[in-house]
Amino acid sequence: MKPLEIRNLTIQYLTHRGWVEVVSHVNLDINEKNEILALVGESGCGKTTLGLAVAGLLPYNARVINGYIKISGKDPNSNSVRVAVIFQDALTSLNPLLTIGEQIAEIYIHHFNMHKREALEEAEKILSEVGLPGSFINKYPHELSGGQRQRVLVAIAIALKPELIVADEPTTALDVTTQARVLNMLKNIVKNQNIPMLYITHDLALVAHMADKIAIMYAGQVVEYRDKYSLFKQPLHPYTRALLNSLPRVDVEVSELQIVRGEPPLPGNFPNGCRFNPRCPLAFSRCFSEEPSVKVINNGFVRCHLYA
Amino acid sequence: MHSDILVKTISLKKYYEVRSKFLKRIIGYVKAVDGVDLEIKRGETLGLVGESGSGKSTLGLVLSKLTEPTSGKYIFKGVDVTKTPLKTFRGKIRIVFQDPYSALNPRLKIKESLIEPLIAQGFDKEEALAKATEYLKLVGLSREHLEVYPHMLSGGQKQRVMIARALITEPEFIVLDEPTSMLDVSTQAQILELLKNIKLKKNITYLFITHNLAVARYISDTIAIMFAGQIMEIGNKNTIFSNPLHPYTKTLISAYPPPDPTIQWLPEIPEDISSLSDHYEQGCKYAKRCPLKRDLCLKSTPELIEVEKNHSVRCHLYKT
Repeated sequence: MKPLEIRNLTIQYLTHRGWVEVVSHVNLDINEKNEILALVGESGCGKTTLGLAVAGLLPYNARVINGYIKISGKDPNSNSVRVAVIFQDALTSLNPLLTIGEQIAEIYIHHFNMHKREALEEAEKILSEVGLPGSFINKYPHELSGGQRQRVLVAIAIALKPELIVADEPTTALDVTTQARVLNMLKNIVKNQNIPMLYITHDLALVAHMADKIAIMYAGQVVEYRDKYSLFKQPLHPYTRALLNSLPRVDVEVSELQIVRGEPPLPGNFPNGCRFNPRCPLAFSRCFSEEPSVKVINNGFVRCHLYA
Repeated sequence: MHSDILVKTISLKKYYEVRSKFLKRIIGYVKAVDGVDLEIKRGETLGLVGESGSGKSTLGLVLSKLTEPTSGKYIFKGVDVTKTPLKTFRGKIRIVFQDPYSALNPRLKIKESLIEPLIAQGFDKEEALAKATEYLKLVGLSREHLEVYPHMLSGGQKQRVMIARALITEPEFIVLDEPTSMLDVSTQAQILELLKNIKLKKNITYLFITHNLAVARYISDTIAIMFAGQIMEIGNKNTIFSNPLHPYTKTLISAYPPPDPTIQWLPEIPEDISSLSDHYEQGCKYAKRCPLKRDLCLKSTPELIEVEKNHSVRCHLYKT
């Protein structure tokens, strides 16, 4: 059974303008237990909503009108499914009034029926797995640095022994050096403990090293889904190419960044035809009249009329 | 005539007092900027790179005259302006902040926000509005945007308005404090290109503060690496990247991955043992983290020394 299977998923939000589509007909898979699938896109593209749906955490004003998600064959909202989420902002994810130990122990108490003392011992053990000293169980969140807090979130996530981790921009708030450490740790957890991960980010440079498969999202749709080597070697969708060419680099001198005109459309305002057409340098008449369908290419797909 | 050095600082320091909860006595200082000597040439972009807490934003505040230094000198166009009131040259030095969402007054139309600095300088309203239109065009927005409120604009558009507002008084020096770090990559590319073009057109000098070395490499001519309130390494962009000397610079460069999976990324990052505020009182500030530290590093503070032309480093490993 696949760790993650998303089929034809469409999600809407209720706003003052009525129901607005934020995720449209998304198909994605995680096939292996030690696979990292990166979901890359700019703000407003629906990547966080998709992550919440996978974690069964959609807010009350959202509804799935089409399609389904299966996590190892189970519905994400069922009680038997175990998905852990790591959010961007560790300070608001943690309860400021509880010690680190108590917050990790909650997982053992509620999910594994342990007593408090036993749970605290387990919490102390799991801290070493994320590179923190066991003595940290008595500390409060405000006593830790940003990177240490993020490690605590990871500890809470893996304490659950999850079938899937959803990591939503887990290192965006961190400094580059701390980010490098936390990313290495996350990757090791996936590879050594066989916990698949849906890794949501806007940073393609990180994805080049973290991910196995990459899904590029634009305006609620997955426009390209490939394994990372072929995607970086030969990006197919014009949006993917634009993203890659708009990145400043540390390792080589870039004299000019390629600019995509305009801004991503907001949900409810998606253009007719291909949703990227107002910004696409290669758009032709068909792109304005007809929505491109998904074209399957070696273990992936692209949604663009150029490849029809 | 003054030389072509526009901005110069001489052992600039900015300390913040730490007071006790009881009786509010001073129990110590946070040395946000601890002896910075900088020179920025006219028309140059200096990229100031450091982690959060390194003091880079405080240095930006001092150089934009929004706060006074504790000691040291700030020389602008050859004149000591350390104690000069801000008002005298408010139009000449401007700052653009990271967060365009909170920098614009939500109750004012864009045109009102734009003309404010001009009105303060004694322009009449008509003249100011004409200029506002001109500068909106310069940053890639149109006349229609004059009449809208900030919430109707996207993050990228707001940052364009902030840049227009900084430019409108025809400044010579702009401090850009992480102007793109809250924006998406495609918008970031647009803003970086815009800043580059404007600099060429108007011959403005930038201090570009960022934690992102890739962005710094793209936009800057000179790069200064800051740690714990001090400049650790400074030099021409090409020398910094082709021949980084300070262990901290090397760590920073290796910490950010290249967007290419075929290049192996092996960040050399020393263990996470100290925060920025946690360093030795004596000796090199980087010593607690440094993988190459020796006894000497704990005893004496290294000076910033020039190792080759336009390339200085603050580290005991390098002696002239």
